Amino acid sequence: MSLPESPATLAADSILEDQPSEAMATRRTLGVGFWIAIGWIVLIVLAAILAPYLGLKDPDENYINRDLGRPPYPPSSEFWFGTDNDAKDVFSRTIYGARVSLVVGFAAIACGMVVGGTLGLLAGYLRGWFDRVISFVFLVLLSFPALVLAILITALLDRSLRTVAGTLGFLSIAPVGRLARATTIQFSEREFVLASRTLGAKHGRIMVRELLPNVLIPMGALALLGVAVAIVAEGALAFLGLSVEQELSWGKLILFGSGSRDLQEAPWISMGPILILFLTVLALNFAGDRVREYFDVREVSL
Amino acid sequence: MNYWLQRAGMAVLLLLAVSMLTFGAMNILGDPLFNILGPVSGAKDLQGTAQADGYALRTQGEIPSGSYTIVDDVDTLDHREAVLVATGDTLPKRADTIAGLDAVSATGTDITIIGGVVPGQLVMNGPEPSQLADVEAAEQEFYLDQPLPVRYVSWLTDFVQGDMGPQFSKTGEPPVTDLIKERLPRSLALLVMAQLMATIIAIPWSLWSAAKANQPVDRVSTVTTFLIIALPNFALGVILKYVFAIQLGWFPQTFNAGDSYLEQIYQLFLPALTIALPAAAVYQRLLRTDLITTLQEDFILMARAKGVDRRNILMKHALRPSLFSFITVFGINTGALIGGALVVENIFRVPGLGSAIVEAVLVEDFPVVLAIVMIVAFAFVLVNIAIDVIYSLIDPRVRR
Repeated sequence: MSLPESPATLAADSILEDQPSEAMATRRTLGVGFWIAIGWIVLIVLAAILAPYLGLKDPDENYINRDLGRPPYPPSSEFWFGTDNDAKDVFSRTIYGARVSLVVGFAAIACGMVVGGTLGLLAGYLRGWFDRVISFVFLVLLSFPALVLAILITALLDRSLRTVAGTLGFLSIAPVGRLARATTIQFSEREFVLASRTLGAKHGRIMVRELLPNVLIPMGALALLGVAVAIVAEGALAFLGLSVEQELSWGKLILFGSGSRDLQEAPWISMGPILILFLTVLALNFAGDRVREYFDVREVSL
Repeated sequence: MNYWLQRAGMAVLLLLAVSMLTFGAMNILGDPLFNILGPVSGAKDLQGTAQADGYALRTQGEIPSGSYTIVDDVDTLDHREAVLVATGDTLPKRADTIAGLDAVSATGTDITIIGGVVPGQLVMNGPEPSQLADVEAAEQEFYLDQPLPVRYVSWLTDFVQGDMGPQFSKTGEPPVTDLIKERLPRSLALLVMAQLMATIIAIPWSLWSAAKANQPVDRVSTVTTFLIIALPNFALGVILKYVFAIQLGWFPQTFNAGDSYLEQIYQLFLPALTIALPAAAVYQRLLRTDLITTLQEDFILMARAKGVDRRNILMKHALRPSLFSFITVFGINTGALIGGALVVENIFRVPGLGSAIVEAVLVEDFPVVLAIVMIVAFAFVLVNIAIDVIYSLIDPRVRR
């Protein structure tokens, strides 16, 4: 789960606003689009949590209907996204699939924020050999494709929800940690840190009271993007047959419908989950971008 | 000179760290001997229901009673089952044993097995005499009789000399080196095609966008890049396959290794496009902003004042200085694309490194996994050094 594009696009987006007056005006509000995106995310999260109470069809029940002939049935008012070959309702499966995808996405980033943030903050503040070791570890972690690493870990351990979320969390440590470290280095030379130190504050206090709040803002902006990356990574793992075994997830649903015959005869089996996944990732990316612009994170990008 | 030495040293250190981590994890978490030989005992076929201290056990076989030492923690699961790793006299074994729980918890480090074993994997008091030869041969071949650091060094010496060893299977055939030789060119071709396509798409697109900066056309293209980036590559692959291979029938749905090279490249078009499109979108965003910045520099004004026409300003004056961050991201992205290629190869059934690693992971064929991980890491390091070289050629200040 790498976030390699983020520093680059980060820098890119901020240079993009070349007309200062207009740029300031747009940057200072989050905009309608942001709230729509947040609304969609909230909707999906609520739907996932409340799935059993929404009166959805049972995701594992075969709704064979003699009038319609043999399944798969195309989308209709009864089956919004159609059904798969076993006459299971694709829409309700997509909503239930959201549970695993979202849990993995949010848990992974939370783990990355806590561990990566702490390590990055310590490395950036303490410098010296600790910084060198941590930076090297980050470099090693970032030095080969995250997906390969994820495949390796899930293969060596098991494929429970905990392991998959933990693996992706582990992978998000390095990108988050690097950002935290860079931000800390930048802020630790600012006047208010110097002032605090002159007043006799201990290292712990400086880190928690002075640096942490400043580091949290860019990390928070990164987190929204990171959730999207984690959801996609879980999907990719599921696609390789290496994600959570028992439960449904979006990646798995798309995989189920991606065979040549299914695509030919019943494209809706995969297109339904693709649509929801796409909209969710889009909303997360968009919201993350807006937050980043709003807080003007550009100066801490590298 | 000093800089390059340092850079190369760093790269070697990095590769060593990666290989050590991977090698260590595989050998500690996995059980090589088990993977090579399978369960070393004939007890797999035994049928029977075992009883242990009154608990009914869900087993299909029986293992001899006796004392075993628990190497790893005892993990208590539902249904009063225990997963444990125990050792016999000579042979470390992994076992998902369902044994009498009372006996397990009673002593902590020693277990007396009264009966019960999980199908397939087995705790036993050492291999049977008939299998000793197999075990010894395997131990020699894979250096399993050596301690872990020695094993690592032996593996590394072989690896550096181009011998990636035999596969972890009963026959060990084909050797990992042969497998890699067969699979690597396809993955390489796929990646090169993808990066070429991405560049070919991104450069004209960004030039066009930058020329019409902030006009409606440009805004639409920015939104388009945003949409493409939000579409995960496996979803994009499925959509492209649906549209171009199934509905339109322009491209074949899967890859056929037996066809001629030209055919193969044609078959690789869709997978390459799947990887290239999101990459192109990333490059386009980056190049567009860089171009817009460059276009505001004084020397562009100068060129414009001299009467150079728009096309030449864009192509000759603005493009080259704007390529800096593009080159960096091109390199960084190569790593991400390798990850993407794994998934895409599986959608279009391209037998490349991606499908090889997935196959190997599922049967725990660790030498293959290790070889592929090392190749990927090596490629990544190489690309990064290449970028550094290109950078220092363009801008000598970087060398300091």
